[in-house]
Amino acid sequence: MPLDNKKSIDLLCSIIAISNSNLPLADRLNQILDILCGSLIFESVALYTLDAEKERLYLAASRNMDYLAEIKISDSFAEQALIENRHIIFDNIAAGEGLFKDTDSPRPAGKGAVFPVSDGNFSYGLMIANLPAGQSLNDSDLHIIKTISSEVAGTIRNVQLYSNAKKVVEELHLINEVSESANSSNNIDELLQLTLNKLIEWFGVRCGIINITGDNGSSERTIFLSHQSELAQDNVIQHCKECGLDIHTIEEAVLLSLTGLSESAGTCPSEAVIAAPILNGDKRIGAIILFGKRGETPFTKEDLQLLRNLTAQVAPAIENTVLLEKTKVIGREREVMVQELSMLFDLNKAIMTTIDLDRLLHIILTAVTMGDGFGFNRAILFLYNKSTGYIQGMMGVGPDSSEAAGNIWHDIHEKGKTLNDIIEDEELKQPQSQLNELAKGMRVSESEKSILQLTVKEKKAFNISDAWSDPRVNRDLLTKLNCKAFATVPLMASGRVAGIILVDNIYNNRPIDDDDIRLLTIFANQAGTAIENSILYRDIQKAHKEVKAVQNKLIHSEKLAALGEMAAGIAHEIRNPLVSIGGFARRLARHTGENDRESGYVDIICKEVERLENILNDILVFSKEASVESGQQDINSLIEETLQFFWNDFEKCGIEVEQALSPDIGYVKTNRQQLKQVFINLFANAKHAMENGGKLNVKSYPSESEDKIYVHVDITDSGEGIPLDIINNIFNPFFTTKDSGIGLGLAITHKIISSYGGEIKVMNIKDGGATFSIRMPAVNQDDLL
Amino acid sequence: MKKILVVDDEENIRFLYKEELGDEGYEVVLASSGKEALELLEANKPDLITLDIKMPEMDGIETLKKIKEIDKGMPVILCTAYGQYKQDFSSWASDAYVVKSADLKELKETISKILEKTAM
Repeated sequence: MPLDNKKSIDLLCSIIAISNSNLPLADRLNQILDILCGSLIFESVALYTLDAEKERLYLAASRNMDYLAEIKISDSFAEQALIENRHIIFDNIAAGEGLFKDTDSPRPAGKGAVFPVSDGNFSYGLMIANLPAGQSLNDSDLHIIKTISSEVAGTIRNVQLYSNAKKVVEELHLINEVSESANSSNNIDELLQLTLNKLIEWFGVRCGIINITGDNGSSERTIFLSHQSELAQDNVIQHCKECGLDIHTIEEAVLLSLTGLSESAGTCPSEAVIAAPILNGDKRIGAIILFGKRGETPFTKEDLQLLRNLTAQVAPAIENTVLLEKTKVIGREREVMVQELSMLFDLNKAIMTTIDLDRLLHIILTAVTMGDGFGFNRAILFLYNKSTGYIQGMMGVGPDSSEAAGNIWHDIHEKGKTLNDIIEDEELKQPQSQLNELAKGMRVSESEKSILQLTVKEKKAFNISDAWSDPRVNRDLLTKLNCKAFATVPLMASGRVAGIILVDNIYNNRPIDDDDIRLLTIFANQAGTAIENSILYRDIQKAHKEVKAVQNKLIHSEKLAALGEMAAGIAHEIRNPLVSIGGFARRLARHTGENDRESGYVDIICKEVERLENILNDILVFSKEASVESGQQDINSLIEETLQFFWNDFEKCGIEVEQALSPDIGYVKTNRQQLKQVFINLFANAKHAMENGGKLNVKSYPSESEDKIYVHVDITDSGEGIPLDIINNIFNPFFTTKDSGIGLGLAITHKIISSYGGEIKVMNIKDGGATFSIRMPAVNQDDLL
Repeated sequence: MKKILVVDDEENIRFLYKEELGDEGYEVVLASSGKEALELLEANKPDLITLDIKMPEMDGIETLKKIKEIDKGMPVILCTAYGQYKQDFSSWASDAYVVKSADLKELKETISKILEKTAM
């Protein structure tokens, strides 16, 4: 039914009014469709809007007929209408294939039509209609419909622009909020919770998970937030993983539809899931999963992009916070280290204050037991004797009972006593306690199986937490200690074990941890060195005392010797006058008659002189050098010993020595020094005879004559021999000439050999050189027995 | 009559020896130093010499050496207050060694023993 001008204008006016109203879009569209049907232009009509991908049309509003909810654009008239931006009229709606619902009920008569909803630039959708039966559309009608379409397009565009703008503002607002919250907290857990909460709200999901990858220095952490109590973190993570979405490996932002998860088994609608990695630049620091959106409106691609943007916003904050936490942890560790080091420094300083072993041990044990030291309840120090293998308890420090412990700790606390106060205590020596007595009574031999020997052997600390069931701990030790847990640490000095410190917490039962052992080990290394130094010092002191004693003895004997010398000197001076006095007195005695009174007087003089002479003899004997003692001498060893003196000289002169010493010769009875002098003289003589080189032959052999056994030594040089004019006087002490080079030595040699009943002869050899032959009586077998 | 040369720097000792050895029937010649002894040796031709060791200038050991150079066979008895000379090997070149004493018995016995030996 064609519209007249007035009706057309009215129609357009009403539609413009509706378009510009404040009503929601759907209401406005519905009202416009009402007007179009009411003006009898269309029997029925539907408005479709185009999706963002321009692939599908969705039904926005319809009137008077059941229209398709969704139309695929491709392969239909819709495509033609949209692309060519023109209307298409069908003779009946069946001809508009793909645009109308197939239905079994009788289709309405009348033509079908499709109009693009376009403002000339963009198409926003389609208007599909069914004309009243028998009617068609003239140009005027078509013009009006086209005008209305563009009005509708305008309306849709405005609304879309508005909602897009609004959404952008909201997203910006969200990003801002998330950024703010991300930067508002220095606590990583708080930051993650705030962020996750915002995202859950925004995306309207049931729960969310953020996982931050741990790397060196920080641990992995996972935050889970849910508004529904039946969803548990592990279940959700596991469920996602089973559906192919592992939170630990997400690399790309994804939209997924997973099987629904519900605590109550059974049918459960599928749920939309959106997930994204958290990337700081190119570095993946974690991932987020927003899980469980049910219903008609799943996530859009824009949501995915938004999530990407959000994670990119939050990532630096997370990274910074993780770094900050890491820094804090490191800072705390450093602080602890500084505390430990300063304590160790103090302790080290303290143990350097003394060289006295008892005091040192007490300082070490005090350091181990004091609250501001290591704070162990009891400590016992053992020293290890390497040469005997024994481990000996030296000292124990600690209360004897828990009551005493309480009192002592209270006392220390009250008086504010520090380690330094105690260390500065001058009286610090052996402590008076049962524990100390117990400690000093402990002694473990090398063969005993003991945790103490094990500590020495393996050179490492042992932390025994359950002593009574530990096979390494011997019962004997445990019975004495009576504690459940203890630790042993070797005291090291220059790589060797000097001793052991044993500690326990028998009264407060505080467990001994690895940090305790680590610190105690460091301290034990320093303490070990200090102990070794102290022991060395003690040994040196002892040695020094001994040297002093010997020196005193020496001084004493030197004094005696000096005294003796002086006495001897005086005695000599006195002897001559005494000889005169006594000698003449004796003469007088002989010339006085026996009955004269003078005879008695002279006798007294004689006796008194005799007495004085005896005293002088005693003094002289006392001051005389050690008398010449004789003993059995092995003449071969004596020769070899003496030859050694001459090696250098012989070598210098180019003298070759040949020895032929018979092992079967017996002993001779002489003074060793004198006999040695004999050989010294003879070798010196030989050297003198061969100053331009030669050969020295030394030979020893036994002989027997008239039932007596003799020892012979022949010493032959290859010099020029002894001049005939002196050979007979060579042993005469005063016949020596300097020219001959024969000194007093040979005379002395002769005297010595003769004094022991021996003989010495000399003879020249035909080819030059001389042989000195010694013959001495060997010691009788009877004498040997 | 055997002639004995007594060499000693102490006048009283010389006097004592002269009296005592004279009583024993010896002719006694006295010298107060080593030098004088060597001078007297040629002229007097003694049968035996007693020689003190500790004397100023030339001591007894040196004198002994000189005497032996002149007359190797001359019997010499070293008389001294110093027992330690027994350790000095060069004194062994003398025929005897007597420690001085107020009792001259040892000296007299040694003299007669040596003179007996040389007479043989």
